[in-house]
Amino acid sequence: MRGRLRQFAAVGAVATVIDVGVAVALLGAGWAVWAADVVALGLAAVVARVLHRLVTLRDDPYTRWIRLRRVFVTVVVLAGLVDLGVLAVARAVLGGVNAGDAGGWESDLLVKVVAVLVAGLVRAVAYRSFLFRVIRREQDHPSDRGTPPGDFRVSVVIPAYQESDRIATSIVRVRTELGAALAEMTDTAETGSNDGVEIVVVDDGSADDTAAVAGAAGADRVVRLDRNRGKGSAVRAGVAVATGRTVVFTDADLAYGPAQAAKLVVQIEQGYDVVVGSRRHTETKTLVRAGRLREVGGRLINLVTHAFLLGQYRDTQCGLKAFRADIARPMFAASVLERFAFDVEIFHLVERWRLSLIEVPVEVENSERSTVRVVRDGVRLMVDLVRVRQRARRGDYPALPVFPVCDSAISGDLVGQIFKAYDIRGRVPDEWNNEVAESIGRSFGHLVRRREPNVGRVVVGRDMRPSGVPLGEALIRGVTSVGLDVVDVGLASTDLVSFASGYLQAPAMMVTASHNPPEYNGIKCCLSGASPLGYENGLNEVKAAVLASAPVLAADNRLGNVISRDLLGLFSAHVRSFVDTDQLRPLRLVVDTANGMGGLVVPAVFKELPFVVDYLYPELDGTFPNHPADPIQPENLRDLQARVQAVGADLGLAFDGDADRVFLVDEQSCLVSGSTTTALVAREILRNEPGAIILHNLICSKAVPEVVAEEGGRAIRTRVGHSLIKQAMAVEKAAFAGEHSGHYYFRDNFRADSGLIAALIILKALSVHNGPMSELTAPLERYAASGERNTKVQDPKVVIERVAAHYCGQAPEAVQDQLDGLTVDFGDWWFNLRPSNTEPLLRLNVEAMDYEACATRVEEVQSLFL
Amino acid sequence: MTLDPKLLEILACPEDKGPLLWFAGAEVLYNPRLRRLYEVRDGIPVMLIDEAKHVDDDEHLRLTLMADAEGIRPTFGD
Repeated sequence: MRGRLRQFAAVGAVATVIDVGVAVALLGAGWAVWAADVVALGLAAVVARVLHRLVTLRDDPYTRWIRLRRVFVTVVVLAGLVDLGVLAVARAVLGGVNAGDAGGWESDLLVKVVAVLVAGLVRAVAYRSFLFRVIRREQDHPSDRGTPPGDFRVSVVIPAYQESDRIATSIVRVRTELGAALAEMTDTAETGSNDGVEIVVVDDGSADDTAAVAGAAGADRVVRLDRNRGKGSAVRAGVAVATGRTVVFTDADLAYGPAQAAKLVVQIEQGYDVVVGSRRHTETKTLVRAGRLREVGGRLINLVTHAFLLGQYRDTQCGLKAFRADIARPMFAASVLERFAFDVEIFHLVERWRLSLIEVPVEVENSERSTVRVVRDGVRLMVDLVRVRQRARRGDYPALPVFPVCDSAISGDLVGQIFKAYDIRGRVPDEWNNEVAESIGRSFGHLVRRREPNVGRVVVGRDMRPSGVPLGEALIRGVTSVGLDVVDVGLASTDLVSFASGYLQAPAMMVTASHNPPEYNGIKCCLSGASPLGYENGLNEVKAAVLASAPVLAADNRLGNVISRDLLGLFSAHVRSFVDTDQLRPLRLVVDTANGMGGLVVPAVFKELPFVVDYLYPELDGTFPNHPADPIQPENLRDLQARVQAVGADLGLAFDGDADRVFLVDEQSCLVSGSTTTALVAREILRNEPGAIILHNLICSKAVPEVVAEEGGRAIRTRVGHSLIKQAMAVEKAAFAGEHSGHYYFRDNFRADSGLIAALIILKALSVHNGPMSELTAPLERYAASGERNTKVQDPKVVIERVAAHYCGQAPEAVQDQLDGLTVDFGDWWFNLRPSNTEPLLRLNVEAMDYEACATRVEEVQSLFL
Repeated sequence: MTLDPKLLEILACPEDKGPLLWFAGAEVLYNPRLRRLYEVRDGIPVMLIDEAKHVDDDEHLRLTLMADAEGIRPTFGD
């Protein structure tokens, strides 16, 4: 970015040098002033135009208007005339002074530089005033985008901080006065449709009971932020859950009077994308004077914002603004400012996306109290404005959304396919989008209502994928539409959300596509106590409800509230409670979180522990710029292995995208298999809890049941798969379960899996062991495993039957079972052959005494497929 | 404010893992052994040792007397 700015400056410098140089040279050669200057200016303008076209900031909306030919020519001619005028006058004056020689090249240079400076000033001023006019004219046309979808006619978002004494009055006034004003201003024909006012109060982390009072006073939705984040964040949270066709936000003190909001709503309904109240409008009356300082401060803010925005607006900071709902959502999702300067960011996005905007005069009925503090807030405003400008230049704001912004409908066939065996997963936006997410939220809410009628709230979390923000918001709108409250834990790992589900005894949804590429997203669901929800036991019902047309919201239906809450501290303490932290040594670790959620949770857990940790790719970035977040693929472990070697680490950890799975490499960078990890964790569990029951899936090495038996525990073999394991743990009262695929489940973690807990237990074992990791794992690596070998076959069932029959005849002494696919155990080797759930694939796993024998046996079994 | 009975059953003091007293009116959980007071915000118990309040003699007496008077039982192990 800096580079681009430098390029811009360089173009200016080159043009100026050409202008000055040519002018001075031609004057020296005896040209007439006007001829020399016109040629110089013309050359400079042509060069500047060409160079600008090549290097101009492509993503900066400002350039869109600078590129307008008419504006460019007008400004260049105007500035040229000024330049020429100054040059002629100055030269005449200088010439008059030293009449001897008509001035050397030095005096020519001096006057030319002065002329250039004056002309530059004129050019800047001219550009701005032209642009202001062009832009405002462009905005001033209502657009014809049709009616946006929404359950209510208007949503009024009221951010409130410490307003428990007057929020109730405000809510009642909005309900009655806005309702009456809207009815009055609209043709009776239109009011027949579903035309309620939805009131969304956002309690911005108040210490008083603003939220409770708002709920009691009849707010349709109450959103509680966990701490005081600022007006921008509060409005954003409110817009995210609002379901009206027009979204208005206003201050809790109702400085503008609710009836005035109706004027804005009517403009939106007539086709404007954004309508803003304007206090400085010629028609504005100030009913109650605000404090002098505040008024001056307001003027100053307006003045400063002029330097940052293109168009000239009478009042950017007015607390009454209205939006089309389908524009408010992407706009607030794209905005980042937490405090009250977010208004400026909104204007910037209006300009950037070429939306239509109109200013409407509003009367201020100011109240005495305000939470604005002039000096501190003035400084913060400046900081925020600079941030907006930088983000704008850098192109950090998303591009113009495709209008109309309402999501296109996706065919039921595609939507049906996103429901997988254990979760929901698909490409966004071609397989599912925000609308589908809202429907999933609603359907899941209905499922919770049926299955757990006593439950009142649902936990929602999301990973760092960019699509997760709007999808999560849509999901929350869906869940709250059936009257369930939402505990919004924000950015989270899947194991954090499972923990929240167990800890709060509430169903949970996690927006993540685990290790899938960036264009994917999905949802993992569970019922209260982190109890698994797979396709067979509930997701199929959610799918059916999503595919059926969405149920219409009853008018008297209570909407759920949203409580935003950071549970990272509680989760970290919970994870640490699995080990005696006093036993940990200052081990040297390398942790590759692959730009996934591990970047958030791993440092939080390790923060208070004695480890010396090198983090690889800890920045949360859902585009996965470094390597895919799938540590099961060996190539994704290479960076970790190299770093472990480079720093001489004791252990390396690799987490997947949503940080629920972990893979380990020892101090020699050798991968520690899932089976070995299972055996190691099982041994630790058994030493704490002698005689405990341990589950392992049937793909795990035989070493696992052997180690469990040696440590005095009881091992039970299970089928492969998330939901099955959790259920089996409950039935068998198991303390721990491990899968070869990197999933480790703990009874004391609500039987949910957590790679972080497994990693911490192993780190404790390594600390106590006081030797290298390879020494710890060596006694557990007893056999050679093939790893999963997938083969495409026409009919997996037929092949499995054939293989079973073959070994029945050939090796009658071998033990066969069909717990999951076919397992045949020959004593010194065994194999399992099972069909894939989704594709015509056979998955083969073989384990033998050594790698040579293993390879031979793989070929032997595979030869039977044909 | 009510807490889910199932949630109450699993709540323990993170320090000594022992049961707690739930004061629904004040929205606090109290560990009388270590005299630690845990807040419950929006129905979410904040079971963090760092955020717990330490209670002095007078307050400890008041809380235990109140528990007796209102028949508040420990969360589990009774």
